[in-house]
Amino acid sequence: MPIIIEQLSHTYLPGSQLAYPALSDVSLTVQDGEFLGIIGHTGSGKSTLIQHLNGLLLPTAGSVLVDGLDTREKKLRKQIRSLVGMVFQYPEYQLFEETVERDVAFGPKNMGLSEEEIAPRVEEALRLVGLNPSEFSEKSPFELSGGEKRRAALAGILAMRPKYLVLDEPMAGLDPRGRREILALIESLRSDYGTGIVMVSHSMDDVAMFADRIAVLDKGSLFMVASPEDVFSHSTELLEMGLNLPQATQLVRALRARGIDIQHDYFRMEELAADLIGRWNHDR
Amino acid sequence: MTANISLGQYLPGNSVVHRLDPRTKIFLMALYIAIVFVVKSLVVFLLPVVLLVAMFLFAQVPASYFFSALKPMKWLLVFMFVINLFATQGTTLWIDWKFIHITQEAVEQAVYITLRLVLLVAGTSILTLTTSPIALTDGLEKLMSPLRKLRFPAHELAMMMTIALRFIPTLMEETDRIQKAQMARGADFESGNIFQRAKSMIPVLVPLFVSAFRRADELAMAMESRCYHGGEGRTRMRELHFHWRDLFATLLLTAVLVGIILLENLPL
Ligand SMILES: Nc1ncnc2c1ncn2[C@@H]1O[C@H](COP(=O)(O)OP(=O)(O)OP(=O)(O)O)[C@@H](O)[C@H]1O
Ligand SMILES: [Mg+2]
Repeated sequence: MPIIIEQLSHTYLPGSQLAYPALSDVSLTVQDGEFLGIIGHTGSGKSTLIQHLNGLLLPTAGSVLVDGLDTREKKLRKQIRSLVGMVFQYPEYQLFEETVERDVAFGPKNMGLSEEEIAPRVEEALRLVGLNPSEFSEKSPFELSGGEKRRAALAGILAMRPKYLVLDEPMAGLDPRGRREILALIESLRSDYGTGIVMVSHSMDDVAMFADRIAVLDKGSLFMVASPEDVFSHSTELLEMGLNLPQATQLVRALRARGIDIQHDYFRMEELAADLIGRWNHDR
Repeated sequence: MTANISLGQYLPGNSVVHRLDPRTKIFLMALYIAIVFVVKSLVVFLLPVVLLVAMFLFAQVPASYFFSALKPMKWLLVFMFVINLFATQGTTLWIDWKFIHITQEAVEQAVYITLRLVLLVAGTSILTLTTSPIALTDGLEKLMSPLRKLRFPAHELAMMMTIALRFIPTLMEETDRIQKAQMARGADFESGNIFQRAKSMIPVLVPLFVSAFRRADELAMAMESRCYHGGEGRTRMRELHFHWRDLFATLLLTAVLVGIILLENLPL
């Protein structure tokens, strides 16, 4: 069953002078096992939107149903939060336990699992994020490096074995290698476990590469939700919203401006490169 | 949730009161408090009441702020009134019914005490309503600076206050964020008895302290790399200057104070 967001509006500080409508009338469905990218300019409401997916924020109007469970129902919230794992920006700031193992076990423990059930989950989660359990279990999370902390925090979410994983700019502040590893991990969660992924990202290349569909937010409204191909063919509108384009799309636009006729709206570098190489071979 | 609380209650504006020097305003508040305390008779109480109304008018602060200043105090006010009503000894009995004895003196006493509290709270709220926290600490620093001769760390104290004020909203935002992150992992801050709840705050407090220390460290580093070395020989970007209005306001309030002392003590 999917996550169904219907005509969702959210106003911060409603009723006060500072009332701010951060989301208005957003309808969107996250399908089982899909990779949904969310893009939008700073302040467009991305973080506000995703915090609705597990009931951290509640709709001012409209509704959010996670596998049929309404997030407004207080009784269902625990269940919803174990279905939808949420990784905030800089998740390493949530680490608090004395050892990595205990920190990763925090989520499963809150779900009410027994020690015997928790231990294998913790080990599995640590392995998934590439931290060797025998080496890291007993370490204090505060003595890890920045990248290791991020993985430990991620393991803390994965140990809950969520059906959906929601990530808010999970690669922010990582070096290129760290970025690639986190992306590869997210991709493998989807392919190996069928986890549905919702990822907010400022990197158009990352969403272009991995997302099945992309939702574009603009000033609190949903501009469009479509395949990367459709979304990036609206390059003029995206640029007007203050968004970037994937490198391949930028190159296509630059080549077209120079009179080179490329019919297809490429958004992945490999595909554009193949096209260009084809032309070059043909011309010779 | 927590991040939404606006700190203090500064109401930006450009009234005469806003433009008074913060040092003057702090001094005027001291005068005003003195006035409220020397008043003894009901008729003379009119003076500080008029003064309070005048302050709200000159500061262009909406009357609603009068009530919001008193709101957190409402139970204390009721409590003080009731206690004084029943506990004050007197001679002129007004009500004498079963175990309830209320005398004229008790009613007067209860009214005085309550009125005094109202005047104090509402009056001093004018200071924080019309002075930004930064101007306030600047003013305090200047007022305390003569004490430096006695090795009193006036500048350091003011700097600490400024930094604390600056970081309160940041820490609130941070608390909100960490709380949400732990709630996403199933943490529950709302149910359970008081011990369970206190214990459930650990996953928030630990990261909060860690980040506060990190921020403090970074700030110290940033200040040092910009050659901050304490108060000695430091000049300011915004110098404080006294104007005629400062002198005028001070004279006015001093006159009221002296007037009240005379009124209360002269045999009329
Ligand atoms: N707790 C809050 N109280 C009041 N307003 C808020 C709060 N959180 C966010 N906002 C406002 O809501 C709007 C949307 O914020 P949101 O964090 O969802 O944006 P975003 O798309 O995630 O931006 P970014 O890319 O910078 O993370 C912003 O204008 C922000 O100022
Ligand atoms: Mg955001």
